[in-house]
Amino acid sequence: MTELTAEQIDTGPRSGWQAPNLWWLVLPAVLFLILFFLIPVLSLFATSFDKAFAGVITFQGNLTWDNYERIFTRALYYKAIYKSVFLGVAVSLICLVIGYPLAYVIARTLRPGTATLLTILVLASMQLDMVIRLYGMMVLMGDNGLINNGLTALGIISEPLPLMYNDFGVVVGLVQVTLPFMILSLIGAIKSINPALEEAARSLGSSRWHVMRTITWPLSLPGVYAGTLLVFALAISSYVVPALMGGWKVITLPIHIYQQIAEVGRWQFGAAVAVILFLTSLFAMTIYILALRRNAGGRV
Amino acid sequence: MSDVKPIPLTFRIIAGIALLVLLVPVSIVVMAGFNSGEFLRFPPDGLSLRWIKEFFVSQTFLPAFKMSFGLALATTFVSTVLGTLASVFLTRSTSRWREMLRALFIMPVILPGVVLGLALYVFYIWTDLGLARSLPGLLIGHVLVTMPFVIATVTASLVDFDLSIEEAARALGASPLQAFMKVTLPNITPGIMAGTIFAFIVSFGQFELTLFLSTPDLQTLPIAIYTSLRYAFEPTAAAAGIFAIFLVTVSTLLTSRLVNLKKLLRRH
Amino acid sequence: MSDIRLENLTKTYGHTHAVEAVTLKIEEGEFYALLGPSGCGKSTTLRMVAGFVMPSMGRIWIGGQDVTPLPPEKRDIGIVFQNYAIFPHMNVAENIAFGLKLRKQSRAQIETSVKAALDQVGLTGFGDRYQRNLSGGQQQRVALARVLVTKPRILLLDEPLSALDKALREEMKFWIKNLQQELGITTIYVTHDQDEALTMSDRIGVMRAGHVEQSGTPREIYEEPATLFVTSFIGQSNVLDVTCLEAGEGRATVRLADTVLKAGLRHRVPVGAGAKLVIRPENVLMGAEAEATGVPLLEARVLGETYQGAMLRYRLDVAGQELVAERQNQMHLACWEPGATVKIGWTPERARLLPAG
Ligand SMILES: Nc1ncnc2c1ncn2[C@@H]1O[C@H](COP(=O)(O)OP(=O)(O)OP(=O)(O)O)[C@@H](O)[C@H]1O
Ligand SMILES: [Mg+2]
Repeated sequence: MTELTAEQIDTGPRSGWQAPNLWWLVLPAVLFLILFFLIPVLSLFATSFDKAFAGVITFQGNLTWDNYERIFTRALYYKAIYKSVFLGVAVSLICLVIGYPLAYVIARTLRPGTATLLTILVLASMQLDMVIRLYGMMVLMGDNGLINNGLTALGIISEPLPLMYNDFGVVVGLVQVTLPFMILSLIGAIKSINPALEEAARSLGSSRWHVMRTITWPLSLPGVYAGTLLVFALAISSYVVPALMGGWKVITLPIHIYQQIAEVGRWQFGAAVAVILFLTSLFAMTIYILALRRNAGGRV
Repeated sequence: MSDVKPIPLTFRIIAGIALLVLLVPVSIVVMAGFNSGEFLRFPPDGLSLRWIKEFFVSQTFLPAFKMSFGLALATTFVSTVLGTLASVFLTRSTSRWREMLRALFIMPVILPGVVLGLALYVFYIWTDLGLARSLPGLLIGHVLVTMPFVIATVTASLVDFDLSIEEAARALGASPLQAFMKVTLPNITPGIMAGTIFAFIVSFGQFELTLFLSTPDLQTLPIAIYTSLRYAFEPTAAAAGIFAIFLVTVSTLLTSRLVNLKKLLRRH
Repeated sequence: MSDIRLENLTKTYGHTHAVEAVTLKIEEGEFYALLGPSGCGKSTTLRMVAGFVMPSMGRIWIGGQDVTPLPPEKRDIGIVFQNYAIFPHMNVAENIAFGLKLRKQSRAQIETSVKAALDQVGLTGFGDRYQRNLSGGQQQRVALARVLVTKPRILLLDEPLSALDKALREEMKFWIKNLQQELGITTIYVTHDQDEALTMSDRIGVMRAGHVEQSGTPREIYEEPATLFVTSFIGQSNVLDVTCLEAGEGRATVRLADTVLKAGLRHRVPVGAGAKLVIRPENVLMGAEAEATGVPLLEARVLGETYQGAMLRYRLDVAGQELVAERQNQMHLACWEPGATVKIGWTPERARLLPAG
């Protein structure tokens, strides 16, 4: 065989077999997303800059900042933003306070059966249709509901307590539907803390609470941030919870969007509110994903 | 054992409260569905199958349940096929677009349901292809929000899959496609099935997106219950809920058998 | 014509040169070991031969055919992975039948071959077991049987013994070697264990940082290491600083302390400059033995002695340089206490001169 020159020996660019062309695998999904996700969302953006015209959906092309100006200048609208953010913060904090102990129990119980059972309960309650869970909440908390009914029967109260159709009801409802997400975010973070660290601190003379405060809690912070942001994003985006538990009296951004469209027919304005909601939730979610990535060391 | 590392009592109590918050509403739905009276009160009236029977002849809830079930089946089929193919790309490709695509694929669940519903509805009206308030239009929306779940689970099982097994098949004479079909696919089937179940459940309980895309004659179960809840607490709705609860519990148990829950949690 | 030929084989990942300009010829029926420390590019080389990694540069010939552009399934190779890669969803028989089915053999044919293969690897009656019910050694045998039934032209093994415990490793070492000889199949064997390489191979390629530093028979590698790296990686060696006085055909004259010595030479070593003299501990003669052979003698001081059963090891000081000598622990041979002085020496053929650095 004749000697080869360096040029002949160079196999050149990757030939087909090493990295087989995989694009056809992802193409259907990508086309689907471009057509039914990217384009619609961008259209919504465009609509939000179109001049508001009650009852007209189609794009007219009269670009204007009017819709956004209205949101930030009229009390009614920025109050809705404020209300959404306030509820989101309250719900995140409550979920953290009541979710952390349960996550801790699941992550640290020595009985594997208990951990599996609790995990399945949390997963199942997360997956169950929200409207069905809200049905249960409403039967429990209504003026004529189980709580008021029971307390009246026991003679403790004479007037029903206002548990629903107000901020309180919405917060309780949102906590119910978002709590599993908080717990799932926390379990992973707490589990990844080496129990030997806690034991080492105990052996050095720390009390159980001191260990919790100085070791467990700080090390689980990535999960805490992730869970809090996720719950916040879910809470401010929810339409069905404020609609049912707030009885249209608690006006949040999603409620606002629906009202603008279903009742007033102002699509362009509704679109602008939707964009604001989207950006707020995208911001929280982006930080959430970044926190999660750091937590998982790039595995996600 | 439990006194080696006791969980503080305060923690146990709060954990109990959290568990109550999660489970009480569900129990109430079950109680309301099996209650003999018109309205659940304290103490309850007694047990009966009255509302379950009512559900089976209901003009609203039974068709809605069937509608939800059928829609979820169709959705699951489409998103499992599209999502599994995409997952293979996401785990095998070395393309520099991979990370961008990965981000694109989770976007639909990041977007608030109301926003996505509105965007799709506006798009359907603009394009005027007859998708607005139609079954295909609804299906498209559901595929969008379920595909990320399929991609997440299938990607996870592909990442865990030991590539040398597929390489062994190649060395034994299998083409890339043969190796994938005969060796890889059978081994990631549990992951795909878990993704399928996830997709089914998400579609079955989907509400906010559906709100913009359904019509009175295309009512899904969540929409039907929501509509009835705005006027009264119909026990028939609770009876329908019992079937949904059963469906979800069975599928969660199934998922936990199929995939290692611990692995799943690490990724959350 | 050699059976496997690698020509200027190179693989780069970004800025890492995993394999750099490897050129090798492996003869038909030869058992060739690629030996080197972790991360030196052994697996990458093997995977290029198998077709799982596309070379950045270079060509691969198998049996005279340029297979560089061929996918793994077209190369007619058999590969056994470190973790054996038994298909977990198939039983042992189905695993072994996998390659035969792809070759469209008849059912009866497959059944006979599978049975013969199971007998060959000593797993008669294990056909319906699954991977999870097999020990490491059994999985190893299944992996080999699965590959061998397809009668590949060459056999590639990537650290096949590293997952086994020590006793089993010894057993499998001889078993694999015997099987290979029986079949006369050209084999590349990747390992980081010098014992495996020395005892099993016909020839060894010692790799370091993507290069093949030396390729030769176990004896050549051990007795005539070409570089300091090979010297220190295979067995144990004393490396002494010397000055080269004269370099001739295969022989050099050097000065160590005040003594003039001769040593074997394979490389260009500049005359008058510093160089390294390499001598294995077992080749260092001590006391009467050294004096009897008439080699140039050096004065050494005993620093310490280690008892190793059949062997005695001495740490010696020769003009400020430390040296280890090993000798049989036999009654008739003398012993030295730490602090004693002793004459040492070695036959020139046993010592090698290598360029410094
Ligand atoms: N796919 C890859 N991408 C980037 N770098 C790689 C890849 N595969 C191997 N490398 C790098 O190439 C070098 C050689 O790797 P290789 O696996 O061939 O080593 P090895 O000799 O088999 O080591 P070991 O004994 O640990 O198996 C290493 O530095 C490794 O990090
Ligand atoms: Mg290796």
